[in-house]
Order: sequence, then structure tokens, then C-alpha cells
Amino acid sequence: MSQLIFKELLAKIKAREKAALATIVKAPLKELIGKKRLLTDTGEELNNLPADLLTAQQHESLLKQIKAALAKEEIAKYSLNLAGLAEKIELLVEVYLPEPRLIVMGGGHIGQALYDFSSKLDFELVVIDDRPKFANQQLFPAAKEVICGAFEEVLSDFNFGLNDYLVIVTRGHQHDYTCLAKVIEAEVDYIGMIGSQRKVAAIFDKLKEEDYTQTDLQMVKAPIGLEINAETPEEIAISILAEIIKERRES
Amino acid sequence: MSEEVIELLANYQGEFDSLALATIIESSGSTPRKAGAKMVVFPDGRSEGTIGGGCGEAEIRQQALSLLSKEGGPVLYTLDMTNDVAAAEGMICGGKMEVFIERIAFNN
Repeated sequence: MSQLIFKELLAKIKAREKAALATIVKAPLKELIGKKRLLTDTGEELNNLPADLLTAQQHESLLKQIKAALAKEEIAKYSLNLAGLAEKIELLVEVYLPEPRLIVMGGGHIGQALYDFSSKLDFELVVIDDRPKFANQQLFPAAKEVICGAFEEVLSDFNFGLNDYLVIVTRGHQHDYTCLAKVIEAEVDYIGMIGSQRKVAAIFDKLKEEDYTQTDLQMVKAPIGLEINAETPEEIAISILAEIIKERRES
Repeated sequence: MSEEVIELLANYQGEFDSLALATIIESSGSTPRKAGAKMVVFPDGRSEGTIGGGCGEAEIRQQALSLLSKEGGPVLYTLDMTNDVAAAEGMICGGKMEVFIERIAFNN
């Protein structure tokens, strides 16, 4: 059983799901010490606490604490009074979050500059392009994944989530539009799309016609990047990464 | 990240039927690693992962080995690196940490 809980936790980490592993590290009943409980955002859980050691109410208090810790997204120790127990129990809750991931749509000049600079930051990098010449592991040797395929298909199959940062820098407006329409409703931490005010306005108008809401559009950083008067692909990449760092550290 | 240690425990199919897992549960002052840092100790004395290295880690490794060598439950161990002994041993971090050491059994 104790290995099983680590297997489950690893599966959650690999699936980029947020998970909390709680361990009882101090308790008046020694049978409770070392017992673990795994909880995810979706409420799924695995539990090696013998059901008969605690009352339903005590289980409930424990669960409530783990949920609160999960929401806080920190690793911390909690002291907990469980009604009916002689002493407080101490609970370590470790929250595992997915590694931050930078997903770049478009492997052109800006995509390559983003790759160069982001390799110094702690992002896993994913590059998507429909041209084999650009969606190429040789061009992005340290990238976690380089995916070659039509944007629409690749993005339909992609699992986006927590700690994902999406950058749309394809070679043309049409592809940028395709990408944005595919990802706009994804629950990610950042979506940015390159383009002039005019191009962005045109793409937003088109999306509104397709019933995407203003709220969806507000999330999109477009024109992308912090305003630093960037001109070259490298400067633009830095302005994009600066904006991503700002978003990431603000929250 | 302690992900490597989680991976090791999840996939372990080795020769030993139990390993010790040490996890920092609280640290105060200046310690090299923070809560959640993990180290696995094998009965033969090898280890994977780190809870900070140095004398502190060596002490935890000893505790972990002694836990594996006898029957008994998990232990909470407080490592004080603020006292004179620590200074004499050259541990200059000057913090305190509480470490939980437990046996992870593989019965398959």
C-alpha cells in the first residue's frame, strides 16, 4: 500500500495534475503516524488511513485541512485538533504542482530566440510547427517536446492546464488565428499572441463573430510582450519572457 | 524538487523489501533545503536525493539505518545546527530542521 500511494502521486505529477500528499507525522495513536492521504484538485483520493482509527467527523476535519492546503499550493506542517483525540496531530502536506511549461506555436525566428533565452529559465519547452524544417529537434535540442503537425490537429489533442504559458508566434495571421481559437478557452496561466494592434483587432473581431466572449479575449496578451521598444527577434523574445515572468511571479 | 525520489519509490523493484524515507517537515533559520526535501536510504547505506548534505544528512542517514535495522514505527528527528557541536563540525548553516523518517515497505 505505501508504494501504491507513490505510484499514484507520480501518475498525477506526470499528468500535470495538482496533488497534495498528506502524512501524519505526530499523533497520540501511534498507528496513525506515517499514514498518508493523497488528494487531487478533482477530489480524487487515495488513502491508507485505516477507516476504523478515526471517526467520520475526524476524517472530515482532516480532509478539510488537506483541501485548504491544496488550495494554498504550499508545503507546510499543520497542527490539528481532532475532536475526541487526547492530543493534537501534526500533518505534513506537500503540494505538487506541474513544472512551468512554455509552449511556443511557431518555430521561426522568434520561436528560436524564445528557445535560446528560456533555456536559462526553469521552463519545460514545447515547440509546435507545421513545417518539418522548423519543428525539428536539431533546432531545439533541449526542448522537452518538438511537435510537427497541422496546428489545428496538434492543439486539439494537446492537454493544457495549470502552469502552462502559451505563446503564439507562427509565421502568419491565419495560423495565429487558428492557434488562438484552439487555445483561448484552455485554463492556462498565460496566452500571448504576436501582432500589431491592427492585426490583433482583426483577429479579435473574427473570434467575437464566432461567439467567443470578451472575457475569453481579455485573458489574451496581444500585442504580446512588455513594452520595451523591442525590434529584433531576440529583443521581442525578451519582452515576451519578461511578460511571462511578471505574470508568473505576480500570482 | 523531490520528484526523483517519488519516482524511485513508485518504481522500486529492487532487492530490499523496505527502504527508509526521510522528509524535511519543517526548517527554521538558515538550512540548505526546505520542507518537502527528501532522501531515500537503502539498508546497505546508499542513498538517493538530498536533504542538504554534510553532517546533518549523515546524521539522518544513521537514524534511517537504525530505523531499518529494527522493528518500529516512524520517527521525528530534530536536527539542530545552531549549537556548538555544529559549529565545531563546521556546519555553518545555523538552522534547525525537523525530519520525519519512515519505512516504506514493498510487499509485492
